Amino acid sequence: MTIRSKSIVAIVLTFTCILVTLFMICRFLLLNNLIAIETQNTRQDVERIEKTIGYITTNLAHATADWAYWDDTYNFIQNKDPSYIETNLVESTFTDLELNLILFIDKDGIAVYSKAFDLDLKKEIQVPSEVWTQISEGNTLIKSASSTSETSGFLLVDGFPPILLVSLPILTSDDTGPSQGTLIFGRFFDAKNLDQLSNITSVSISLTTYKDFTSRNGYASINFSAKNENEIIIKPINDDTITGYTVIHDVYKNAGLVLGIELPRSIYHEGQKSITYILISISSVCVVFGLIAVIEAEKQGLSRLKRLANTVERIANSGKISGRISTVGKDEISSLGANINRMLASMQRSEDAISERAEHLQVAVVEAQLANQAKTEFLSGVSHELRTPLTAIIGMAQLLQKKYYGVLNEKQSEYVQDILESSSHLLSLINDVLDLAKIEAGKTKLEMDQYSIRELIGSSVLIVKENAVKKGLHLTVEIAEEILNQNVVVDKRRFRQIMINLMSNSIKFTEPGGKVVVTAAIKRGVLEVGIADTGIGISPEEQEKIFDAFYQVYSGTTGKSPGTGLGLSLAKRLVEQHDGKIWVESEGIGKGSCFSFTISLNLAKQVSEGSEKKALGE
Amino acid sequence: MSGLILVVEDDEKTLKLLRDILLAFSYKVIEATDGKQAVKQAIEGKPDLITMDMQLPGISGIDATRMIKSNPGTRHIPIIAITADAMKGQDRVVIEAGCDAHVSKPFDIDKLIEKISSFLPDD
Repeated sequence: MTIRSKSIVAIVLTFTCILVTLFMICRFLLLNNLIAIETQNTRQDVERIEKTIGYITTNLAHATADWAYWDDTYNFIQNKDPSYIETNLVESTFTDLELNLILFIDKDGIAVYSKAFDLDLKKEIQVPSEVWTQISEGNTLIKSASSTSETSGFLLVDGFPPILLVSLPILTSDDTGPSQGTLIFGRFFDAKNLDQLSNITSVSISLTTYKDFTSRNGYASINFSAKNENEIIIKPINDDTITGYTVIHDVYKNAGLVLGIELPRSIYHEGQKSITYILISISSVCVVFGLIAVIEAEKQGLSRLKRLANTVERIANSGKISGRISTVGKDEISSLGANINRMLASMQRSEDAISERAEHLQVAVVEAQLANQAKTEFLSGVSHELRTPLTAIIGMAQLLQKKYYGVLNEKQSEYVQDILESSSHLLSLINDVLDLAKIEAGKTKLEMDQYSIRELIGSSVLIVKENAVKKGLHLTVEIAEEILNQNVVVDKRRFRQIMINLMSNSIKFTEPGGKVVVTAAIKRGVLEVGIADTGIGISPEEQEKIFDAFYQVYSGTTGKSPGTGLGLSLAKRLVEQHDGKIWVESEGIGKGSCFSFTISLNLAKQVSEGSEKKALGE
Repeated sequence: MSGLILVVEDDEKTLKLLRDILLAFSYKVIEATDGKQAVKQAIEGKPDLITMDMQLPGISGIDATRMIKSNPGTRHIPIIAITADAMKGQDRVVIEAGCDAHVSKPFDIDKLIEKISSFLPDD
């Protein structure tokens, strides 16, 4: 996952968390507060309606009082004068006062006048029979002679709307008694009145009998506690409507009616809308800030990091540590870039130091080569200078030996012979040293050509054959049949030199009657030549040193002409020039030894080229 | 055996050796110790053969050989180069310079005489 994706995920997660938290806060704090306010408002509305009903009752009581505390009424209840009825209890009395029921009851409890009136139909109707039942039973409505109190409230009668009643004792106009009876005014609190009330208060109002309310299913969850008479219950029924209920007592102070109101949940709706708006606004802000954050991160960090990474990669791929990273500003990325630059500079210094050292080495190598060349030239010069006096020594000794200037005595002849042998040895040394120097200086150029293996080995053996025979040795050659006619590419003179050096050693260190066997065969794809003898053998310690220059095998037998100590060393160099190997095998002192060397069969051309390069001093 | 041989050699002892050998084999000998003398003796002494040391002070043996071989009066005289330089290819250089044969130092007396007599058959 790239840093870019990681930072985007982090930003998205952060803003999502902020949104969720805000949503929770709004939902549970704000909305709950709003619901509390809503409940409070609904409660206030219920109380307002309750008060309004109380006000209506009070108005009705005032109207009733006008009639009850009036001398005419006082007289009428006593003398039952019909003119009072004709004059006062006309139709307009019912309509003006919005009355549906008027009862005049004398002090003996006998109804002097009773009339029920339908205000819509404008006609008299029968007084509900249950009214009579209740009045006779309910003494609270019938005022005694001493009573001055008012009784008001709803009277519930089956088959009729709740009747708002006011019952007053009948007194004189100056409110003095004794009471001569009871005046009851009643108003049917029907749907029309409820509508009126709803219009005045702008609240949808319902009035249900307590019995109906409690038995109805829909309100099963609403239970008024018996103790708290003024309890108001608020209950939202859905997202759109909230309801409030309270008990209204009847004239007997019993739970008679339930006043219910329904209100639209505007506050709740507004709250929800507000929360939605808030969340949308915050989401938008989050998205905008998130984008800004991503863009800024991209601009300030990610894209620069990417550029930095690209530059470093380019430098790494090209290997040009002279490249530098552009650093702008003073933040962490710039500091990283600066540090990379410092690292590059440090690498540059190291590389400079290395190349400087390489140059020094190159110079040293050239100096060493020049020194080696000088050594070779010196040896070459020495060799030449040594040959000149040696020529005189050998030549004059030969002249003496040839007796041109007279016969020598025995001792003189012996010394002349010794001079010749020593000179010859000295000449061999000079020649071998020169050869070795030239090979080591890479100055020898092989003259590669194609020769028959049989011819090469045969001609080499021929050179030493005489010495071997003279010493009484059996010198035999065994060339594998399959290579008798095979050719090999070598420098003939060098090859012979190798063969002669090895065979001369074998002849020299093998006692008369011994054997020297020369073998040649193809083994593992190369020509392998072996020279085995039954001579003095070589101890393991000596086998390790035998190819070193000037190393001479200790020989207990005296009288052997000493070697130069360079023969095997030269042979080794020459074999290596032919890309071959040389080694010795011997089971130890007195058990003979076998020298072997290999010559590549198919790499002749390469050998030639390789030595040409050497010759050019590369 | 007979014949006049010009020995060109700067080393005193070697000159003496060559002279003694040739005298021992009944040749007549004239001498030169540098290239300039060699050319002069070749013209004036009219030798039958020249043995020429290649490393001479002043005019080298090779240059002297070229001069002698480019002179119509001396061109016919066989020259045997005597070199002390064992470097490979020396024989080719001297043959190219005009020498008729090559002997390297130190030399075997018999072989030297053999080479000389091959150029100077007995009359």
